[in-house]
Parts: sequence; C-alpha cells; structure tokens
Amino acid sequence: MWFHVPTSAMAMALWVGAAGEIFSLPALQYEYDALEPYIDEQTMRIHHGKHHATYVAGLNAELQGKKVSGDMVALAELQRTAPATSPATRNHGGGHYNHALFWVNLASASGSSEPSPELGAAIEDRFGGLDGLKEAFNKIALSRFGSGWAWLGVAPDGQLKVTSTANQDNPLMEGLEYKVEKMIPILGLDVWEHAYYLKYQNRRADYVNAFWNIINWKKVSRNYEEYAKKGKPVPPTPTGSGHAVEL
Amino acid sequence: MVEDGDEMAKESAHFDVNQDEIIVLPTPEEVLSSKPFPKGARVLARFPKTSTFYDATVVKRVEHHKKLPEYCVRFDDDERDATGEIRVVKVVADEAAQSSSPLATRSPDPTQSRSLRNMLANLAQKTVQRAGAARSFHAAAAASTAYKLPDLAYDFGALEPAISGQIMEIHYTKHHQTYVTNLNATLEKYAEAEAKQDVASMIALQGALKFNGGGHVNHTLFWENLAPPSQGGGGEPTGDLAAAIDAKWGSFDAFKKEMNATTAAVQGSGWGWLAYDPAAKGLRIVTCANQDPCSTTGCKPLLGIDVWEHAYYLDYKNVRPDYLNAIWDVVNFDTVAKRLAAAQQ
Repeated sequence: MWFHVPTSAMAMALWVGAAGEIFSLPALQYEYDALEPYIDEQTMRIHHGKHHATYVAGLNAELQGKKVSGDMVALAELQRTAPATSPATRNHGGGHYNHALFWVNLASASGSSEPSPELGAAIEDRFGGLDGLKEAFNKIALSRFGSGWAWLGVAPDGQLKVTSTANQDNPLMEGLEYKVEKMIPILGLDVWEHAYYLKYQNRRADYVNAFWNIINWKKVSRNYEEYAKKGKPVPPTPTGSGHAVEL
Repeated sequence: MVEDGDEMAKESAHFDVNQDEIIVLPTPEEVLSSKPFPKGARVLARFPKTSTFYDATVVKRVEHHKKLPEYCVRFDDDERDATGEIRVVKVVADEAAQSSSPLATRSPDPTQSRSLRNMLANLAQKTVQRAGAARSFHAAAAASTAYKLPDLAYDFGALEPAISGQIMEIHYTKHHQTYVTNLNATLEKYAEAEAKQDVASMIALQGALKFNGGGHVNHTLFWENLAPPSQGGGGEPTGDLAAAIDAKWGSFDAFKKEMNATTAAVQGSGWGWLAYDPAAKGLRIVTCANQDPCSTTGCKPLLGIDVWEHAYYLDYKNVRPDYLNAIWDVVNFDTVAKRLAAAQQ
C-alpha cells in the first residue's frame, strides 16, 4: 500500500490522530451503573468520561513531544517527580494516575470480596481489623478540607498507614509543601465534591461510608502483595501490568 | 411578659410571649420522679458550656448514683465523629425539655428566637440555683456573640437560571451553615485554650479557624454580591467602578474575560476575587485556595465568585466555564461599587 506521508508537523498530528497521544483514558471494568446505589450511574459517567478524560488530555498536552511511554508503569513512575517537573504534570499526571487507580479498586457490591490473608493480617495488626481501618480511613477522608484524596498505603517501614493529599496530589509525589505520610498507595478515595455531589450533596460522610461496599479487595490485595510490599508503585491497571485497556 | 436574661444587654429587654411558647424546665425532684424521655424523643437541650438551647434527639438516659441522670443526645447539625455519625453529647436531665412547643418545629431564625432562647437559659439558671448546684456560665458571653447565618436578601430561587434554587438552598442551609456552626465550636475550644494559656492548642486550632471563619466571611460576601435582576443584579457596572475597570483592563468585557479565565483555572476548591489592592491603589484579580479569605492576599474583597464544585455542580456538572459565563447575570454591581468606595477610604 502506498501512503502519502505529510511532512508538516501539524498535518502529521492530524494524520496520526488519537494514536499519537501518549496516554489514553482506560475503560472501566464494569458498567457505569455497576456501583449503584453507592455511586450513581450519572456520577460515574461524568467522573470517568469528563473529569478523568480531561486529566488525560491535559497530561498529553503537557507531554507533547516528550519521550514518555504511555504505559501505566511509566505513569506510576512519573508521579514521584511530578511536582518538580511542572504544575501541569502534577495536576494532570496526578489526576490521571489517581483516577485510574480509583476505578481499578472498585467493583459491584454484589461481587463482595475480602482482603487476602496477607493483607487481612496486616490490617488486623495495624488497625485491629477492618472496622479499625474504616474508622481511621474515614476520619482522614472527612478531615481533608477542600478537594483531595484519602489513601491507604505501605509506608517505607513496611507498615500500613492512612493519609490524605490535596487536589490531585498523591503520596508517591516528592516535594509536597504540606505534611503527607510517605507511602505507596494501594487504595484511594476521591473526596473532590464531583465524586459525590450529585447523589450525596454536602453529605460527604454518607459517601465515605458507602465506599466500603464497593471496594475490590482482590485488586487492593494484589496492589499490596505484588507492588507496595515490594517497594514498587502500583501500576493503575486491572491486570497490574503496564498496558491500560484502551477505550 | 418575660425579661431577657442576656447578661450582655445594656438594658433589660422585655418581651410579650405566648404561654405556649414558654417551656418550663423540670426541677430535680420532677426529673427523678418523671418518666425518662424515650430513645428518639425530640428535645430542646442546653448545649454544654453555652447558655443556648438547641434541637436534639435523645439516644438514651444514663442514671447516676448520687447525682441527676443525664441524657445522651445528638444535637441537630452538630459535628460528626470519625464514623460519620453526629456525635453524642451528654446533657443533665434538668436541662432538656420535650419539644412540643412551636419553637422546636421552626428552623433556627437568627433574628427572632435568640431572645426566647436566652429566656429559656435564664429559666435554666433559676433551676440550677434551686438545685443548689454550682455551674459556670462563663460561656454565656461567648454564646451571645456566637456567629450566625446572615439573612438572604432574596429567595433561593431568585437567581435562576444562573444559579438554581436547589443549589442556593443547599449552599446556604448546609454548606454556609456548617461553616458557621464549626466556627462557633472552634472559637469555643479556642476560648478554653486561652483560659488555660495553652498556646500549642491555640495554634493547632488556627487551621479550623481559617477554614470555617474564612468560609463564613466568604459566603457572607458572596450572597451580598449577588442579586436577582429585579433587585439590580446583572447588567454592567457604572460610575467610578466602571471607570476603574476600564482604566485597568480597557473594557468591562476584557475584565470579564480575564476574571473568568483566572477563576476557571483555580485548581480544586477556591474563589476568584475582584479586589482592591491598597498598596497599588488599584483593582486586581486574585484567587484563593479553599476558604482562605481574600484578605490573605493583602487585598480588599469587592466581588467574589465561589468555584468550589458545590457552588455549581448540580447545574453545570464539570463545565465550570458555563457557570462563570452565567453568573454575571446576577452580579450586584451596586454592592461591588459600595465596597470599592469603602476600600478607597
């Protein structure tokens, strides 16, 4: 087959199209209504299709022309230096990572799961059990003022810890100007108002309580055992590999 | 006729009150011999360390050996604990009365019921004196200067279609009210720390003071710089304000464009402000994160636009720029002009 290859950069971009973007919005592993009644379908559609998509587009715009691989291992590794790189990398890179990990860790309430024996033991050891973890995590989630995320992760000393970050930051990032527990996050909860406002309005506490019904403990356990415990950031994919499932 | 028990009043105020608007608190003997309020009973109870009664729901009654029983209650709209439940507070049984009176069913009206509440507090004080117990009402002073929601000059639905009545109602009765409630609670804790000369605690409370105090200040300014078209909202600025805008940006449209672009770019939660810079003696557009008040920039607030998602999400979802385009239809330029004049003095 013969192709006329345009030589101008602009035409090149148009010809190559979406495939030329570095990152792409990963598809959800479940239907938009799968998390009902805990997270409503409309929120899932807008949260994934608009908010997350905007971070992906913003990250691609920021990285245009740079030699960055679009695989999710690279996305995870990019987090550490994001604050030092640029505000846009911090905001959009963080936004893409945080949301990608968020979706992977959720599942329909009907497929109820539990932490693995190894993760369960760590939760028992550190928090006295799932109830203790909930209490500690929820307190963090409710005390994050303004926009941000609550996190469960593995600290450098190997202990499970909880912490929160502002806006689209996450605990993988170095050089944050406020206090954050250093950790490799295995589970995050979005507490930006867009994550819950349509269904819960100002009642963040109700949303935070509801979250515990839709956690995919299989994925969170894998995040813990195969990545965080080994000192590696979690690649935010359903398979735990580098390749995101393309939309 | 009842006398206002407010210690802070310069002269005693007298009010005519209907008999069905007076609640008589029980004597200790009456408490001990009466049936306990059941779980779920709605009561008016004195909030600890204040002289004010609030609506609450009974959780249970705790009997004590040698002192009056207590009720564990949840006060409406009180702080939540770590599990998200409204926290349980203990009140002594002689300071809780069943809310069968009209007072209990009305939502708190800051201008009207305060004097009635102080009247109740005065009755409580008499009950306490009767019981011979020593209580400290030092917090009575704090309660009478407690912050409250300002009155809105227009109905919730008056700013439609720019901002829906649904958003206005939640924004005012939930978000702003929570800042007020938490500001008062923070100031009470601050007063306790001050009394103990606990400087570390005072400093630790400053975050909460900034969040909630800033939230109260910002939203009070916000409601005032909005108005329905029927009350002068929308249109364009005139007079000195228009001249100052033109001098800085060339035209009102150019100013609007920059204000919208700058405010849209606020990351996460925050505010965009048209402000007066006293150092430069001119107008500026500034943004603030979270509920940091405009004053933290060194400038005086003239016009604030809330871009926390709660301010627009139900109407505009993720499209913040659409909200920013629409809000100009309900900006009260008279208020902005008055603020500029005051700032320039």
